[in-house]
Amino acid sequence: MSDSPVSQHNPNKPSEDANTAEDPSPQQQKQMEAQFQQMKRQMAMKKIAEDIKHKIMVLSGKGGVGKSTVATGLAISLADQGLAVGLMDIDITGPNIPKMMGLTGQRLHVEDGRIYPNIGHGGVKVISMAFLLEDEDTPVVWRGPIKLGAIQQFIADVEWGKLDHLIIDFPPGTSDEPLTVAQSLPDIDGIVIVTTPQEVALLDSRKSISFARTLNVPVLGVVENMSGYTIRGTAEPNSSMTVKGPSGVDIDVDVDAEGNWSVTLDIFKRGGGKTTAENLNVPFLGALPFDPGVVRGGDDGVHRIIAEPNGESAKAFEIVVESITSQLGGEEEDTLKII
Amino acid sequence: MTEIPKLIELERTEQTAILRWKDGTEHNISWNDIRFFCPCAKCSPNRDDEESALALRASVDSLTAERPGVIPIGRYALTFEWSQGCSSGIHRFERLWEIGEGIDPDHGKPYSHGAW
Repeated sequence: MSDSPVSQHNPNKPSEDANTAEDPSPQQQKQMEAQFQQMKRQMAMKKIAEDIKHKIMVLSGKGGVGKSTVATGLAISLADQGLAVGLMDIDITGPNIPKMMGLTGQRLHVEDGRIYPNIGHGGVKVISMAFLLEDEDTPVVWRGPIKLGAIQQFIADVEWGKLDHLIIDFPPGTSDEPLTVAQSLPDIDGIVIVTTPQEVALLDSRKSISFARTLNVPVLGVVENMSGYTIRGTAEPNSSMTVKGPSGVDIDVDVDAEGNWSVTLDIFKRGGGKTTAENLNVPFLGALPFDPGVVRGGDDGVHRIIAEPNGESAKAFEIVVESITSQLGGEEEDTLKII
Repeated sequence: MTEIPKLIELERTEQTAILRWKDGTEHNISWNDIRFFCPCAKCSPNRDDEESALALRASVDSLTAERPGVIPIGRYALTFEWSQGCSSGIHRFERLWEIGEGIDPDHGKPYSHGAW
Protein backbone atom coordinates (compact mmCIF):
# COMPACT_ATOMS: atom_id res chain seq x y z
CA MET A 1 0.00 0.00 0.00
CA SER A 2 1.86 3.07 -1.24
CA ASP A 3 0.20 5.63 1.03
CA SER A 4 0.35 3.48 4.13
CA PRO A 5 2.58 4.62 7.00
CA VAL A 6 3.26 0.96 7.73
CA SER A 7 6.67 -0.08 6.46
CA GLN A 8 6.83 -3.35 4.58
CA HIS A 9 9.38 -5.89 5.76
CA ASN A 10 11.42 -7.42 2.97
CA PRO A 11 13.10 -10.66 4.13
CA ASN A 12 15.58 -10.51 1.23
CA LYS A 13 16.89 -7.11 2.21
CA PRO A 14 18.24 -7.15 5.75
CA SER A 15 18.32 -3.76 7.38
CA GLU A 16 20.38 -2.45 10.26
CA ASP A 17 17.57 -2.58 12.76
CA ALA A 18 16.14 -5.89 11.58
CA ASN A 19 15.26 -8.40 14.27
CA THR A 20 15.34 -5.76 17.00
CA ALA A 21 12.66 -5.59 19.67
CA GLU A 22 11.09 -2.56 17.87
CA ASP A 23 10.27 -4.52 14.72
CA PRO A 24 6.55 -5.21 14.54
CA SER A 25 5.61 -8.83 14.08
CA PRO A 26 3.66 -9.72 10.92
CA GLN A 27 0.53 -9.88 13.06
CA GLN A 28 1.21 -6.42 14.53
CA GLN A 29 1.88 -5.09 11.05
CA LYS A 30 -1.43 -6.51 9.92
CA GLN A 31 -3.17 -4.85 12.88
CA MET A 32 -1.49 -1.52 12.15
CA GLU A 33 -2.48 -1.78 8.53
CA ALA A 34 -6.08 -2.55 9.54
CA GLN A 35 -6.05 0.43 11.91
CA PHE A 36 -4.70 2.66 9.16
CA GLN A 37 -7.42 1.53 6.76
CA GLN A 38 -10.02 2.07 9.49
CA MET A 39 -8.70 5.59 10.10
CA LYS A 40 -8.73 6.34 6.36
CA ARG A 41 -12.30 5.13 6.12
CA GLN A 42 -13.35 7.27 9.09
CA MET A 43 -11.77 10.33 7.49
CA ALA A 44 -13.62 9.56 4.26
CA MET A 45 -16.91 9.27 6.19
CA LYS A 46 -16.23 12.64 7.79
CA LYS A 47 -15.62 14.14 4.35
CA ILE A 48 -18.88 12.67 3.06
CA ALA A 49 -20.69 14.16 6.04
CA GLU A 50 -19.22 17.57 5.21
CA ASP A 51 -19.57 17.46 1.41
CA ILE A 52 -23.00 15.87 0.97
CA LYS A 53 -25.84 17.85 2.51
CA HIS A 54 -28.61 15.25 2.40
CA LYS A 55 -28.46 11.47 2.18
CA ILE A 56 -31.65 9.60 1.41
CA MET A 57 -32.10 5.84 1.36
CA VAL A 58 -34.76 4.35 -0.94
CA LEU A 59 -36.04 1.03 0.39
CA SER A 60 -38.80 -1.44 -0.15
CA GLY A 61 -39.60 -4.64 1.62
CA LYS A 62 -40.70 -6.40 -1.55
CA GLY A 63 -39.05 -6.65 -4.95
CA GLY A 64 -40.61 -5.39 -8.15
CA VAL A 65 -42.39 -2.38 -6.70
CA GLY A 66 -40.37 0.08 -8.80
CA LYS A 67 -37.80 1.12 -6.25
CA SER A 68 -35.00 1.84 -8.75
CA THR A 69 -37.47 3.71 -10.95
CA VAL A 70 -38.49 5.85 -7.99
CA ALA A 71 -34.87 6.39 -6.89
CA THR A 72 -33.92 7.44 -10.44
CA GLY A 73 -36.99 9.67 -10.69
CA LEU A 74 -36.20 11.37 -7.40
CA ALA A 75 -32.60 12.00 -8.48
CA ILE A 76 -33.60 13.46 -11.86
CA SER A 77 -36.42 15.48 -10.36
CA LEU A 78 -34.07 17.02 -7.78
CA ALA A 79 -31.45 17.68 -10.46
CA ASP A 80 -34.12 19.44 -12.56
CA GLN A 81 -34.41 21.92 -9.70
CA GLY A 82 -30.76 22.84 -10.23
CA LEU A 83 -29.46 20.77 -7.33
CA ALA A 84 -26.25 18.71 -7.37
CA VAL A 85 -27.35 15.11 -7.05
CA GLY A 86 -25.64 11.73 -6.73
CA LEU A 87 -27.27 8.33 -7.18
CA MET A 88 -25.66 5.30 -5.56
CA ASP A 89 -26.86 1.90 -6.74
CA ILE A 90 -26.27 -0.48 -3.85
CA ASP A 91 -28.03 -3.36 -5.57
CA ILE A 92 -24.80 -5.30 -6.06
CA THR A 93 -26.28 -8.39 -7.67
CA GLY A 94 -28.98 -6.69 -9.74
CA PRO A 95 -27.72 -3.23 -10.66
CA ASN A 96 -30.25 -1.54 -12.98
CA ILE A 97 -29.72 2.15 -12.41
CA PRO A 98 -27.15 2.64 -15.24
CA LYS A 99 -29.62 1.25 -17.79
CA MET A 100 -32.35 3.57 -16.53
CA MET A 101 -29.96 6.53 -16.64
CA GLY A 102 -28.81 5.81 -20.20
CA LEU A 103 -25.34 4.78 -19.01
CA THR A 104 -25.24 1.18 -20.22
CA GLY A 105 -21.73 0.04 -21.15
CA GLN A 106 -19.98 2.86 -19.27
CA ARG A 107 -16.95 2.05 -17.12
CA LEU A 108 -15.68 3.76 -13.99
CA HIS A 109 -12.72 6.09 -13.99
CA VAL A 110 -10.24 5.45 -11.15
CA GLU A 111 -7.44 7.85 -10.34
CA ASP A 112 -5.12 7.90 -7.31
CA GLY A 113 -7.25 5.26 -5.63
CA ARG A 114 -10.41 7.36 -5.97
CA ILE A 115 -13.42 6.24 -8.01
CA TYR A 116 -15.10 8.85 -10.20
CA PRO A 117 -18.84 8.41 -10.83
CA ASN A 118 -20.38 8.55 -14.29
CA ILE A 119 -22.64 11.42 -15.21
CA GLY A 120 -26.23 10.69 -16.19
CA HIS A 121 -29.32 12.77 -17.07
CA GLY A 122 -29.44 16.19 -15.46
CA GLY A 123 -25.82 15.91 -14.37
CA VAL A 124 -26.69 13.22 -11.81
CA LYS A 125 -23.52 11.45 -10.66
CA VAL A 126 -24.05 7.69 -10.73
CA ILE A 127 -22.15 4.85 -9.15
CA SER A 128 -23.13 1.23 -9.67
CA MET A 129 -21.73 -2.26 -9.68
CA ALA A 130 -22.86 -2.49 -13.30
CA PHE A 131 -19.98 -0.19 -14.29
CA LEU A 132 -17.53 -2.85 -13.10
CA LEU A 133 -19.03 -5.79 -14.99
CA GLU A 134 -17.71 -7.06 -18.30
CA ASP A 135 -21.21 -7.15 -19.75
CA GLU A 136 -24.74 -6.90 -18.40
CA ASP A 137 -25.22 -10.68 -18.39
CA THR A 138 -22.32 -11.25 -16.01
CA PRO A 139 -23.66 -12.30 -12.61
CA VAL A 140 -22.10 -11.09 -9.36
CA VAL A 141 -21.68 -14.29 -7.35
CA TRP A 142 -20.51 -12.92 -4.03
CA ARG A 143 -21.17 -13.86 -0.46
CA GLY A 144 -22.20 -11.24 2.09
CA PRO A 145 -18.82 -10.05 3.41
CA ILE A 146 -17.47 -9.36 -0.09
CA LYS A 147 -20.63 -7.45 -0.97
CA LEU A 148 -20.22 -5.42 2.19
CA GLY A 149 -16.62 -4.59 1.26
CA ALA A 150 -17.82 -3.32 -2.13
CA ILE A 151 -20.51 -1.20 -0.48
CA GLN A 152 -18.01 0.31 1.94
CA GLN A 153 -15.76 1.16 -1.02
CA PHE A 154 -18.70 2.77 -2.81
CA ILE A 155 -19.25 4.89 0.27
CA ALA A 156 -15.70 5.76 1.19
CA ASP A 157 -13.69 5.69 -2.03
CA VAL A 158 -15.98 7.52 -4.45
CA GLU A 159 -15.15 11.10 -5.34
CA TRP A 160 -18.64 12.59 -5.18
CA GLY A 161 -17.54 16.20 -4.80
CA LYS A 162 -20.03 18.53 -3.18
CA LEU A 163 -23.62 17.33 -3.45
CA ASP A 164 -26.97 18.64 -2.28
CA HIS A 165 -28.51 15.17 -2.30
CA LEU A 166 -27.28 11.61 -2.45
CA ILE A 167 -30.01 9.11 -3.28
CA ILE A 168 -29.14 5.52 -2.36
CA ASP A 169 -31.01 2.69 -4.05
CA PHE A 170 -31.07 -0.77 -2.45
CA PRO A 171 -32.11 -4.29 -3.28
CA PRO A 172 -35.38 -5.27 -1.61
CA GLY A 173 -35.41 -6.20 2.06
CA THR A 174 -33.84 -5.08 5.29
CA SER A 175 -30.67 -7.09 5.44
CA ASP A 176 -26.95 -6.62 4.74
CA GLU A 177 -27.01 -3.75 2.26
CA PRO A 178 -29.21 -1.17 4.01
CA LEU A 179 -27.80 -2.19 7.38
CA THR A 180 -24.23 -1.57 6.18
CA VAL A 181 -25.09 1.84 4.78
CA ALA A 182 -27.11 2.86 7.83
CA GLN A 183 -24.22 1.83 10.06
CA SER A 184 -21.51 3.43 7.94
CA LEU A 185 -23.06 6.84 7.31
CA PRO A 186 -23.64 8.68 10.58
CA ASP A 187 -26.06 11.34 9.37
CA ILE A 188 -28.58 9.84 6.98
CA ASP A 189 -31.51 12.21 6.61
CA GLY A 190 -34.05 9.49 6.18
CA ILE A 191 -35.60 6.58 4.37
CA VAL A 192 -38.15 6.69 1.58
CA ILE A 193 -40.19 3.51 1.39
CA VAL A 194 -41.62 2.47 -1.95
CA THR A 195 -44.63 0.21 -2.09
CA THR A 196 -47.45 -0.84 -4.35
CA PRO A 197 -50.99 -0.83 -2.98
CA GLN A 198 -51.50 -4.58 -2.54
CA GLU A 199 -51.46 -6.15 0.91
CA VAL A 200 -48.35 -8.32 0.44
CA ALA A 201 -46.23 -5.29 -0.50
CA LEU A 202 -47.65 -3.29 2.37
CA LEU A 203 -46.79 -5.99 4.87
CA ASP A 204 -43.16 -5.82 3.75
CA SER A 205 -43.21 -2.01 3.84
CA ARG A 206 -44.19 -2.13 7.46
CA LYS A 207 -41.02 -4.17 8.06
CA SER A 208 -38.97 -1.47 6.34
CA ILE A 209 -40.50 1.12 8.66
CA SER A 210 -39.65 -1.01 11.71
CA PHE A 211 -36.12 -1.42 10.33
CA ALA A 212 -35.72 2.36 10.10
CA ARG A 213 -36.96 2.79 13.64
CA THR A 214 -34.59 0.15 14.95
CA LEU A 215 -31.65 2.01 13.44
CA ASN A 216 -33.00 5.39 14.55
CA VAL A 217 -33.16 6.65 10.96
CA PRO A 218 -36.13 8.94 10.25
CA VAL A 219 -38.77 7.66 7.85
CA LEU A 220 -39.34 10.45 5.34
CA GLY A 221 -42.41 8.65 4.13
CA VAL A 222 -44.11 6.13 1.90
CA VAL A 223 -44.45 6.42 -1.89
CA GLU A 224 -47.20 4.38 -3.47
CA ASN A 225 -46.06 3.30 -6.92
CA MET A 226 -48.23 1.83 -9.70
CA SER A 227 -51.11 3.47 -7.94
CA GLY A 228 -53.68 3.49 -10.72
CA TYR A 229 -53.88 3.27 -14.49
CA THR A 230 -55.85 6.08 -16.10
CA ILE A 231 -57.66 5.62 -19.41
CA ARG A 232 -58.85 8.73 -21.22
CA GLY A 233 -61.08 9.35 -24.20
CA THR A 234 -63.67 11.60 -25.77
CA ALA A 235 -67.44 11.19 -26.14
CA GLU A 236 -70.56 13.32 -26.41
CA PRO A 237 -70.25 16.26 -23.98
CA ASN A 238 -72.16 16.02 -20.68
CA SER A 239 -73.18 12.43 -21.31
CA SER A 240 -72.70 9.32 -19.22
CA MET A 241 -71.18 6.05 -20.34
CA THR A 242 -70.03 2.70 -19.07
CA VAL A 243 -66.52 1.33 -19.39
CA LYS A 244 -65.67 -2.32 -18.89
CA GLY A 245 -63.05 -2.61 -16.14
CA PRO A 246 -60.96 -5.62 -15.07
CA SER A 247 -62.97 -8.86 -14.89
CA GLY A 248 -65.70 -7.20 -16.95
CA VAL A 249 -66.84 -4.96 -14.10
CA ASP A 250 -68.91 -2.00 -15.31
CA ILE A 251 -67.56 1.42 -14.39
CA ASP A 252 -69.84 4.43 -14.83
CA VAL A 253 -68.12 7.47 -16.28
CA ASP A 254 -69.32 11.06 -16.71
CA VAL A 255 -68.19 12.96 -19.79
CA ASP A 256 -67.39 16.65 -19.15
CA ALA A 257 -68.62 19.69 -21.07
CA GLU A 258 -65.64 19.47 -23.45
CA GLY A 259 -66.37 15.84 -24.22
CA ASN A 260 -63.42 14.42 -22.26
CA TRP A 261 -63.67 11.49 -19.91
CA SER A 262 -61.20 9.54 -17.83
CA VAL A 263 -61.31 6.56 -15.54
CA THR A 264 -58.60 5.26 -13.23
CA LEU A 265 -58.32 1.51 -12.85
CA ASP A 266 -56.86 0.46 -9.51
CA ILE A 267 -54.94 -2.53 -10.79
CA PHE A 268 -53.21 -3.29 -7.47
CA LYS A 269 -56.02 -2.03 -5.23
CA ARG A 270 -56.07 1.55 -4.03
CA GLY A 271 -54.81 3.74 -1.20
CA GLY A 272 -52.90 1.00 0.61
CA GLY A 273 -49.72 3.07 0.84
CA LYS A 274 -51.59 5.99 2.36
CA THR A 275 -53.38 3.75 4.86
CA THR A 276 -50.10 2.09 5.87
CA ALA A 277 -48.44 5.48 6.31
CA GLU A 278 -51.33 6.68 8.47
CA ASN A 279 -51.41 3.50 10.54
CA LEU A 280 -47.69 3.65 11.22
CA ASN A 281 -47.68 7.39 11.76
CA VAL A 282 -45.25 8.24 8.95
CA PRO A 283 -45.79 10.77 6.14
CA PHE A 284 -47.43 9.74 2.88
CA LEU A 285 -45.29 11.28 0.15
CA GLY A 286 -47.57 10.72 -2.80
CA ALA A 287 -48.83 8.25 -5.36
CA LEU A 288 -47.17 7.59 -8.71
CA PRO A 289 -49.48 6.48 -11.50
CA PHE A 290 -49.17 3.20 -13.36
CA ASP A 291 -47.57 4.49 -16.53
CA PRO A 292 -46.38 2.14 -19.31
CA GLY A 293 -44.14 5.01 -20.46
CA VAL A 294 -42.11 4.62 -17.26
CA VAL A 295 -41.40 1.00 -18.18
CA ARG A 296 -40.41 1.93 -21.73
CA GLY A 297 -38.29 4.80 -20.44
CA GLY A 298 -36.48 2.50 -18.04
CA ASP A 299 -35.64 0.10 -20.85
CA ASP A 300 -34.59 2.87 -23.24
CA GLY A 301 -32.53 4.77 -20.68
CA VAL A 302 -34.72 7.87 -20.91
CA HIS A 303 -36.74 8.32 -17.74
CA ARG A 304 -40.36 9.40 -18.16
CA ILE A 305 -39.52 12.70 -16.44
CA ILE A 306 -37.03 13.47 -19.21
CA ALA A 307 -39.21 12.23 -22.07
CA GLU A 308 -42.35 14.02 -20.89
CA PRO A 309 -41.39 16.71 -18.37
CA ASN A 310 -44.94 18.03 -18.09
CA GLY A 311 -46.59 14.62 -18.03
CA GLU A 312 -48.59 13.03 -15.26
CA SER A 313 -45.65 10.98 -13.94
CA ALA A 314 -43.30 13.99 -13.85
CA LYS A 315 -45.91 15.98 -11.92
CA ALA A 316 -46.44 13.12 -9.49
CA PHE A 317 -42.68 12.94 -8.90
CA GLU A 318 -42.61 16.69 -8.25
CA ILE A 319 -45.18 16.22 -5.49
CA VAL A 320 -43.13 13.41 -3.92
CA VAL A 321 -39.93 15.46 -4.11
CA GLU A 322 -41.68 18.47 -2.57
CA SER A 323 -42.94 16.28 0.28
CA ILE A 324 -39.40 15.01 0.90
CA THR A 325 -37.51 18.30 0.63
CA SER A 326 -40.01 20.09 2.86
CA GLN A 327 -38.99 17.69 5.62
CA LEU A 328 -35.26 18.08 5.16
CA GLY A 329 -35.08 21.78 5.95
CA GLY A 330 -31.80 23.46 6.59
CA GLU A 331 -31.54 23.32 10.34
CA GLU A 332 -28.32 21.94 11.70
CA GLU A 333 -28.68 18.81 13.76
CA ASP A 334 -26.71 18.33 16.96
CA THR A 335 -23.88 16.02 16.00
CA LEU A 336 -22.28 13.84 18.61
CA LYS A 337 -19.10 15.37 19.97
CA ILE A 338 -16.49 12.89 21.14
CA ILE A 339 -13.80 14.26 23.42
CA MET B 1 -37.58 0.59 22.58
CA THR B 2 -36.88 3.13 25.32
CA GLU B 3 -37.48 6.75 24.28
CA ILE B 4 -34.34 8.63 25.19
CA PRO B 5 -32.90 12.10 24.56
CA LYS B 6 -30.22 12.55 21.90
CA LEU B 7 -26.63 11.87 22.95
CA ILE B 8 -24.73 15.06 22.20
CA GLU B 9 -21.36 14.57 23.88
CA LEU B 10 -19.12 11.75 25.02
CA GLU B 11 -16.13 12.68 27.13
CA ARG B 12 -13.58 9.94 27.67
CA THR B 13 -11.54 9.95 30.86
CA GLU B 14 -9.12 7.20 31.82
CA GLN B 15 -11.69 5.38 33.96
CA THR B 16 -15.10 6.59 32.84
CA ALA B 17 -17.31 7.71 30.00
CA ILE B 18 -19.15 10.96 30.65
CA LEU B 19 -22.24 11.01 28.48
CA ARG B 20 -24.15 14.27 28.03
CA TRP B 21 -27.68 14.08 26.63
CA LYS B 22 -29.75 16.77 24.97
CA ASP B 23 -32.17 17.12 27.90
CA GLY B 24 -29.25 18.09 30.18
CA THR B 25 -28.81 14.66 31.77
CA GLU B 26 -25.20 13.65 32.42
CA HIS B 27 -24.12 10.07 33.09
CA ASN B 28 -20.73 9.06 34.38
CA ILE B 29 -20.27 5.37 33.54
CA SER B 30 -17.16 3.36 34.26
CA TRP B 31 -15.59 1.77 31.21
CA ASN B 32 -15.70 -1.52 33.07
CA ASP B 33 -19.49 -1.30 33.31
CA ILE B 34 -19.69 -0.63 29.57
CA ARG B 35 -17.37 -3.57 28.91
CA PHE B 36 -19.34 -5.81 31.26
CA PHE B 37 -22.57 -5.00 29.40
CA CYS B 38 -20.98 -5.58 25.99
CA PRO B 39 -23.89 -6.62 23.73
CA CYS B 40 -21.84 -8.81 21.40
CA ALA B 41 -22.75 -12.44 20.77
CA LYS B 42 -19.69 -13.66 22.66
CA CYS B 43 -19.99 -11.56 25.84
CA SER B 44 -23.80 -11.40 26.20
CA PRO B 45 -24.46 -15.09 26.99
CA ASN B 46 -22.01 -14.78 29.90
CA ARG B 47 -24.52 -12.56 31.69
CA ASP B 48 -27.25 -15.20 31.49
CA ASP B 49 -26.36 -16.86 34.78
CA GLU B 50 -24.82 -15.56 37.96
CA GLU B 51 -21.67 -17.66 37.89
CA SER B 52 -20.61 -16.76 34.37
CA ALA B 53 -21.64 -13.13 34.99
CA LEU B 54 -19.27 -13.00 37.97
CA ALA B 55 -16.51 -14.49 35.83
CA LEU B 56 -17.18 -11.91 33.11
CA ARG B 57 -17.07 -9.12 35.71
CA ALA B 58 -13.77 -10.45 37.07
CA SER B 59 -12.25 -10.68 33.61
CA VAL B 60 -13.35 -7.13 32.77
CA ASP B 61 -12.04 -5.79 36.09
CA SER B 62 -8.68 -7.43 35.50
CA LEU B 63 -8.08 -5.43 32.30
CA THR B 64 -5.82 -2.39 32.39
CA ALA B 65 -7.74 0.87 32.51
CA GLU B 66 -7.57 2.72 29.20
CA ARG B 67 -9.33 5.35 27.17
CA PRO B 68 -10.92 3.57 24.18
CA GLY B 69 -11.29 4.71 20.60
CA VAL B 70 -14.91 5.40 19.62
CA ILE B 71 -16.62 4.76 16.29
CA PRO B 72 -20.18 6.01 15.76
CA ILE B 73 -22.42 3.42 14.15
CA GLY B 74 -24.99 5.22 12.03
CA ARG B 75 -27.44 7.22 14.10
CA TYR B 76 -28.03 4.63 16.76
CA ALA B 77 -24.93 3.22 18.44
CA LEU B 78 -21.23 3.38 19.26
CA THR B 79 -18.45 0.85 19.26
CA PHE B 80 -15.47 1.13 21.56
CA GLU B 81 -12.00 -0.01 20.61
CA TRP B 82 -9.76 -1.22 23.39
CA SER B 83 -6.26 -2.59 22.98
CA GLN B 84 -7.25 -5.67 24.99
CA GLY B 85 -10.55 -7.39 25.73
CA CYS B 86 -13.61 -7.36 23.53
CA SER B 87 -14.19 -4.49 21.06
CA SER B 88 -16.97 -6.19 19.08
CA GLY B 89 -20.07 -4.83 20.79
CA ILE B 90 -22.35 -2.35 19.06
CA HIS B 91 -23.61 -0.32 22.01
CA ARG B 92 -27.01 1.17 21.22
CA PHE B 93 -27.62 4.62 22.72
CA GLU B 94 -30.61 3.17 24.59
CA ARG B 95 -28.35 0.65 26.32
CA LEU B 96 -25.85 3.34 27.33
CA TRP B 97 -28.68 5.47 28.68
CA GLU B 98 -30.01 2.54 30.68
CA ILE B 99 -26.59 1.72 32.12
CA GLY B 100 -26.30 5.38 33.12
CA GLU B 101 -29.72 5.27 34.77
CA GLY B 102 -28.81 2.12 36.68
CA ILE B 103 -31.22 -0.02 34.65
CA ASP B 104 -30.13 -3.48 33.51
CA PRO B 105 -29.83 -3.00 29.71
CA ASP B 106 -30.59 -6.70 29.21
CA HIS B 107 -33.83 -6.26 31.20
CA GLY B 108 -33.13 -9.57 32.90
CA LYS B 109 -33.64 -11.45 29.63
CA PRO B 110 -31.20 -14.13 28.48
CA TYR B 111 -29.28 -13.48 25.29
CA SER B 112 -31.16 -14.27 22.12
CA HIS B 113 -29.17 -14.29 18.90
CA GLY B 114 -30.24 -11.68 16.39
CA ALA B 115 -32.72 -9.95 18.71
CA TRP B 116 -32.47 -6.18 18.86
